[in-house]
Amino acid sequence: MDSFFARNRLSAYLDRTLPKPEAEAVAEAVARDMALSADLRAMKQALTLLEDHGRAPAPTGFKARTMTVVAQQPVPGSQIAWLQRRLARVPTEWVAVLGAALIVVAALSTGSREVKEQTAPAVQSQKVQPSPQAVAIEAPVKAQAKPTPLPPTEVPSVKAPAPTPKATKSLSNIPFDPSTPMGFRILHGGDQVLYDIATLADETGGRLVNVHGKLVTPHSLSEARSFTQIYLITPKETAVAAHKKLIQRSGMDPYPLDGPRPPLDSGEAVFLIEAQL
Amino acid sequence: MLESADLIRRFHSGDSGVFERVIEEYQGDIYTLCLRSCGDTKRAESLAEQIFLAAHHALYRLAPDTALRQWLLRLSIDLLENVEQPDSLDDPPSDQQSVLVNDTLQQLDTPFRFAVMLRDVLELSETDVADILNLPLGTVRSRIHRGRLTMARSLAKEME
Repeated sequence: MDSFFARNRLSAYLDRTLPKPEAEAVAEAVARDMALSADLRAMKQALTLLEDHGRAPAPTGFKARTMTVVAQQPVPGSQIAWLQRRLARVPTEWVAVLGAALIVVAALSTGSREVKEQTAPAVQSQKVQPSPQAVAIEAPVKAQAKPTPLPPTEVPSVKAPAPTPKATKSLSNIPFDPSTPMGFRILHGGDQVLYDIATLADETGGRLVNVHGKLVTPHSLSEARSFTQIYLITPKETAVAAHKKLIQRSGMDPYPLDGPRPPLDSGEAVFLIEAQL
Repeated sequence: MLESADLIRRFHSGDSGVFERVIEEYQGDIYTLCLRSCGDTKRAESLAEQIFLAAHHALYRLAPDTALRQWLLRLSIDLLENVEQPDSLDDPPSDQQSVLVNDTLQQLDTPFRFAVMLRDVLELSETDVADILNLPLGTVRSRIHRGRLTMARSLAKEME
């Protein structure tokens, strides 16, 4: 066998995956050609090194540290899956009715709390006779607190309680500084999540890049490639808007980005986005 | 040792403790891959942690018949592909042989390095490597061969 062909078969020869006649031809070529023989020896040496010292045990306490971080995560997948499986067995109409009932209960309880908070200072500042409307609204609160008269001017705000989701409230309070890069996790983003992010990048005059600053073309996520990490670079002027949109899309608190990041110009801000199917 | 399918099923049924078993089972593979990709022990630990975190988020969608080890390795490769090589290492391995392994593997371009690491460090079959890298078997064989040859020549030069 020619040395060129034999060299291309060295790997398979060492793995013993060549058919017998081919393996014999390689052995002959190795015996004949000094350079080929040196390559074979060096390859054996390299493989022995990898086999003996390639594996590295995880550091002591790695499991415990990782479990601590995992436990702090807001969305444990197993519980979501548990809920999804159970909800899948219930007819959609029932789920809708139950959801509506929960919203009404949440709205009423938020409304009652607002009435309680708003009436206390009002009573201190102006002594007004209770209106029949106010008394009717106060009724559910009676069991918890002493009934307080409500001035008629307070009624409209009670009539239209605007329950704000707790998560949105806490997220919108996070101060944003374009010079402090943030990371966002988009869990269960769906297979088209990268296209959504690309639209967001267009809207904010930004671009999607990898850690080396190379432009990334959006692609669909799949079970085989269910996770991706990309960076959104925007001008600093639109960074606040991008930050807000990413919070909305993510639904989770962002975290300070302290890992590697792509090269930036002075007037630019960067966001890391970890998106999952 | 629990089978992949058992681990996944138990995770789906809400057994939160089972993820600890997943880490225990695969931390060696994942940490090795991270260390050999970035060369730095601290950074490797942080990367491995990120990978397990991503796995924890995605595991609930996984079909129970999925090969968990291959899936985790694929997830790791996806993440590690974008990891930049640092100019200097803050925490290189203390073991000289381990440093030599890192240096030798660093001679390879990323696609060849992953193929060699999966085949020769984690000792997976060529078929499994092809599955993880989502490449045809022939391409994987070629990458493994070229990676090994480059590494062997660089090692031989270093030993001279």
